[in-house]
Amino acid sequence: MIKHYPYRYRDYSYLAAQAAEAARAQGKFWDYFDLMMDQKRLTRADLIGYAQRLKLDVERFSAELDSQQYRPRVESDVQLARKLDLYQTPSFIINGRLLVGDRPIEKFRQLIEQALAEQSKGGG
Amino acid sequence: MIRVFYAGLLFLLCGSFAYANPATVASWKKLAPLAALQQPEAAKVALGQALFFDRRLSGDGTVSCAVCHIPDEAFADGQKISAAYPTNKHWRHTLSLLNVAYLDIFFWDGRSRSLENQALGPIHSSFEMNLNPRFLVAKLREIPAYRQLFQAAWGGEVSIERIVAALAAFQQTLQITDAPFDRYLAGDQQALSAQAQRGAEIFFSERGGCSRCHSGSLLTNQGYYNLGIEELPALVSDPQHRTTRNFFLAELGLAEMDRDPGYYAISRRSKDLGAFRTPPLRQVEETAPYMHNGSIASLREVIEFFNRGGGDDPNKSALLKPLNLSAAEKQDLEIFLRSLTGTYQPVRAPRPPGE
Repeated sequence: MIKHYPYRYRDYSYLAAQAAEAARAQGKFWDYFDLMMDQKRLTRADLIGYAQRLKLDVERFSAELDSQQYRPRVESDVQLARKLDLYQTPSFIINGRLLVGDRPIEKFRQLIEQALAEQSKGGG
Repeated sequence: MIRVFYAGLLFLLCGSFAYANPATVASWKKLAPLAALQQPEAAKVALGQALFFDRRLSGDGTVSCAVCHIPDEAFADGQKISAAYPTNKHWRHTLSLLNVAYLDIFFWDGRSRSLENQALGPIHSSFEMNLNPRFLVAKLREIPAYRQLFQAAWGGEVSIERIVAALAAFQQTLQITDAPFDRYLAGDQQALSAQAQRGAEIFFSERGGCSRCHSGSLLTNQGYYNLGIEELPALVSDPQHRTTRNFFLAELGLAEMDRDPGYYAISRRSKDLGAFRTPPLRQVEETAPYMHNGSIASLREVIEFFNRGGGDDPNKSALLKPLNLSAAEKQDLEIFLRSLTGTYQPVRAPRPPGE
């Protein structure tokens, strides 16, 4: 499960998080997310341009972006992050174990295998 | 830039003779065990611990010391390159704080000569915590709970000297003196397996050469060596990483360069270009990845690196030569390195004073 944590001092970070949610509403969250991460430009015009490239319903996408329809969801993610004392991105929580930052894939495999082993030991 | 959270140090095995003579096969068993150092006063440690975990020590209130020195990760952070102040990128790997109490020289390039000075550096660094220390003093003076902690620890007001001394006091408690290697040196013959002992013999032998630099019971001579570590491509190509390096160099009055100058930035001697301080090795198995730029992922790969005679750099230390260790010897060496893991008191973030 992915949660947003737009940095409060960045001009477009909240807008970009909402754009990703607008893309999710059309079934293209990850495609859209990857495109933003790749392109890095996040003005409103850029965000609508990405929606066009992914052949989303641009009229719906723009309307949802401009009405800030997904702002409460993003705010709720931010509140959750603060409650969990998370301020750095990316942060990962795997069965309660926190991993912060850019980690090698082996580390994730190790933690996931550990979590699976604990679950099977517990009979779950 | 969108920021998202998902639910869901070694190091150098090999160098100089500044602090301790390299032990030999015959003598390593006679090394004095690493003695526990006296703990600082509890009130200073408690204040230091509160400060260590407090994000208000950063400009935007999101970065504490514990962001890069994570208690559950041997007070390192498991990343190639350290975390940085938001919207910036760092340029070096995080060193573990375990056993810093025993060191005389701090940071990869040795630019600090006291634990207190070391603690101050990241607070005002523009790419780390980015807070003017004088502003920090003003902030903490407005928090009654902090004023009480300073009174309890120092019998006086908040000052930057007391802030860094308290941080140093907390870090002095992070001591590892009970690794199997330590227990073996203290006389417990069962503490090291036969394989770990074979690994130790390689480590401390002329042939293995590791103890030329990782010498004494602390396993470092605190000297500086160029191992021929390759620069990470991102550190050369990424504008944010380059910005950080060039800023760091400019602050020291140095011209821009496409590599990490290491100890040269401090000594200004060309022989020190690309040389980094030899770190101690307690808990080394928990502090991957390794080297000043985190470019070596595992202990096995570190051993392979030194077995090849290190990397490729015109300034590489003459101490590095191919070792021609067998597969079994490399395995023994790894088992020895894993015997350097001890225990330390679990440390948890206290509730931020006044919150």
